[in-house]
Amino acid sequence: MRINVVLSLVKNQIIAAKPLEQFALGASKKGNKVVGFIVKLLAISLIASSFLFLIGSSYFGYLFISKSINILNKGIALCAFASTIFLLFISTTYLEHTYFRGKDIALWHLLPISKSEFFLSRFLVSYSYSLLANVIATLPLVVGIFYFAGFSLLTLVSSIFIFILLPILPLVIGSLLVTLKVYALKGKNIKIIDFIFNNGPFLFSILYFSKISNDMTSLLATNKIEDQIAAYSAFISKIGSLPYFSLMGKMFFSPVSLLLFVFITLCVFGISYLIISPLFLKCINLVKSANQNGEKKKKRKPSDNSIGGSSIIISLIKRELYILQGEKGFLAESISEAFIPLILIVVWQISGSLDSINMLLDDLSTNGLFVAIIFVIVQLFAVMVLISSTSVSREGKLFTINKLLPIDVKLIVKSKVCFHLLFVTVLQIVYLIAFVFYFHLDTNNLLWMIPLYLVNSINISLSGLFVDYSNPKLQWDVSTSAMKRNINALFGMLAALIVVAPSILILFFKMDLIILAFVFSFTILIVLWYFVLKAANKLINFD
Amino acid sequence: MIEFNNLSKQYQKDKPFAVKDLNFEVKSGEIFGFLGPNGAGKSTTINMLMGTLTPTSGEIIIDGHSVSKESLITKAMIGFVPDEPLFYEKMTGLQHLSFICDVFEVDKSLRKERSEKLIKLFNLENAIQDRISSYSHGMKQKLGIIAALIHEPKLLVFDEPMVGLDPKASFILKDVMRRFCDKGGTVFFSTHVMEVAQNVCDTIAIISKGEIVLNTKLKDFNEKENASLESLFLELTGNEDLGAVVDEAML
Repeated sequence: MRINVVLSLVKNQIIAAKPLEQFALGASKKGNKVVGFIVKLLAISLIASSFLFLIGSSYFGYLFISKSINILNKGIALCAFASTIFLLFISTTYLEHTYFRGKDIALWHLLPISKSEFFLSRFLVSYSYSLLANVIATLPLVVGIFYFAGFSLLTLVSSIFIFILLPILPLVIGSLLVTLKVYALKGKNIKIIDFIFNNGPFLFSILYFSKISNDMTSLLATNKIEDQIAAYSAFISKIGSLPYFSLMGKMFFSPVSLLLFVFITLCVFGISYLIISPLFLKCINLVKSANQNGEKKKKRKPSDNSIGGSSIIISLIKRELYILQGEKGFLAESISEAFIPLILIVVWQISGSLDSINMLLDDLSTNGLFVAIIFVIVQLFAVMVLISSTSVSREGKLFTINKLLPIDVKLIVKSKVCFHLLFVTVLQIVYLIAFVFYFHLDTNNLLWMIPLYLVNSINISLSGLFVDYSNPKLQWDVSTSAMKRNINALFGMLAALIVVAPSILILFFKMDLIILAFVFSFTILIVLWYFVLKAANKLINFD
Repeated sequence: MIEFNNLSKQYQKDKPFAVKDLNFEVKSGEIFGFLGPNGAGKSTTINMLMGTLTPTSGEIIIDGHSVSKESLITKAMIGFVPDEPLFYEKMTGLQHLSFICDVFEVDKSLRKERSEKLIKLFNLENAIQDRISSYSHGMKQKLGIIAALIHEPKLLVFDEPMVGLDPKASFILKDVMRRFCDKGGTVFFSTHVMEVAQNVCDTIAIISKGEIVLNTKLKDFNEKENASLESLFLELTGNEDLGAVVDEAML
């Protein structure tokens, strides 16, 4: 094992992949850089602080309760467990590409590098990526520990170690899962398995925590404070007693536990290294040969070689579908997005949360705003969709084709909006209709709901396109960089929320003012259309 | 057919010009070879010709239309084959041709006849219904050439068109270029291969360090000069003493 070679591989992979580029500030070549810088800085700060606040407040609550009942170590262990699940979820989004499917693999594959050096370098690259997520996942925990356990040399050293070593376990589990998956499937991509694999840890964590919180809710039904404390204590003890995590809780109070934690973490990594390393090169070869065999040539009669014809707009809409099919990650991500409402309903059903939600909605059903609430719930599903906000980025280096062909910018933008409507909105309108029937709402409501939903969906699409045309991420090797890990996806959601907010607020303010909601939505549509065309024209027709 | 008027491109203000004051004309019905070493400004010029890069100053006129002001009209006149093939790889070859025909609004009645002829000419009959991702580089190059020809443009712009083509396809392409020009079309192509330029072109221009150092009819050149095009190219681009450089490096 040549450590200098491994470090060189890590360094060059990070230089080539530029993982931080998507967060780059003031990257635009033209325009008002200062305003762009401030907007981006504010947006990134807002998103990062929201995550930090959400995770930090949960951790603070757990640590506060566990400190009150003298089981602070178990509270720390619980938070460490939650961070591990979070990092595992994040790691599944990039590990398979980083290890086996990155476009740069072919290049490294040709160099005289041993499989152990190759695997270790990839593991360290993945580790460097997860450190970024670790700032959100573990920093609030470290701050909480200092607050509740007080400052000491042991706390300081343990905090440093937990920050450095906590990502190892989720990465090891993720690496094992990814390697076994590739090995078992012989490098092939089977969409349903990809879908389960990409979303499994997320669903598992939602299910697990929903189940626990449901159990707690039923325990807390009592008014007795002793019973409530007992309920919290049982919950924290249950998770906090898990092996390895309990060690993380204890190490802030015992140097032996700290040493044991470091030792076990290194052993975990060592064992995984021994398991994965021999399979690593084999898996790369399996992926390579699966890709080569993937394109089966169908035999057709030569007379079939005739060209059909469509209008330009239809042709451009079809092109959007081909781009989506171009990378396996794109299609899996888009399909899973389309079925978010169904997935959530299944998860809530399994975890038992659906009954509570139904009870809540039953209580609300007598409220005059119930119709608006249902509309807003389905509208929020539309806000979460990344199809338009990553549409330009997905084109990658093929974006140049837009510059070469004689196509009016308006047609390109229209085709992207139409694709959004066909691929996403049609299904969401089906959800909207289903919700109306499920909650026994007056079906006449659909007369305003569907048109307003349609206009808002166009606005969501246009706002996403504006974000992506203004700052597209066209240079990428791994498909997740263009979609799931594209910062434009987050900005797009934020923009979508802003553009649907006026109509939603009007509905909540007074249902009789639906016409006003339409007026606002149409006005936003016209304004957005102008700005999207401007941004698209700048990107397509100028350097 | 094409007029380059005082065309300049400077990527950054404090950097030297990539292309400076290009002034030349490409006449209708001729094959124009655009030669130059790496980094001389060929791609910058072609990108400006295609409208994917905005000139710092000057303009390009194609058939009386300004590339920067009437880009949709000029793009519709051009069949372009870039040096690196650009395709949506999940499309089949046929779907790509259909897409190009849609975008260039080729009459539906003409599509079948043209596509069948070109597919047969470049020997892609058995692969045209396969996904482009399964194509070799040469097959992609052939598909790109078919796509450039299928809408019957007035001007063909090829960036290193021979790279990746087998000898038969290479021969066919040269023949197609000649016939295309005989029918009144114009071909503007860049190449590094002097032999191809000498055999195919009517006119050549050599660009070095962003400036045109030679623009001549090949017929005149062959009559006046005793030296080969290759040695003249090396001389004009400041590489005449290459033998000594190789000697020094290899020893």
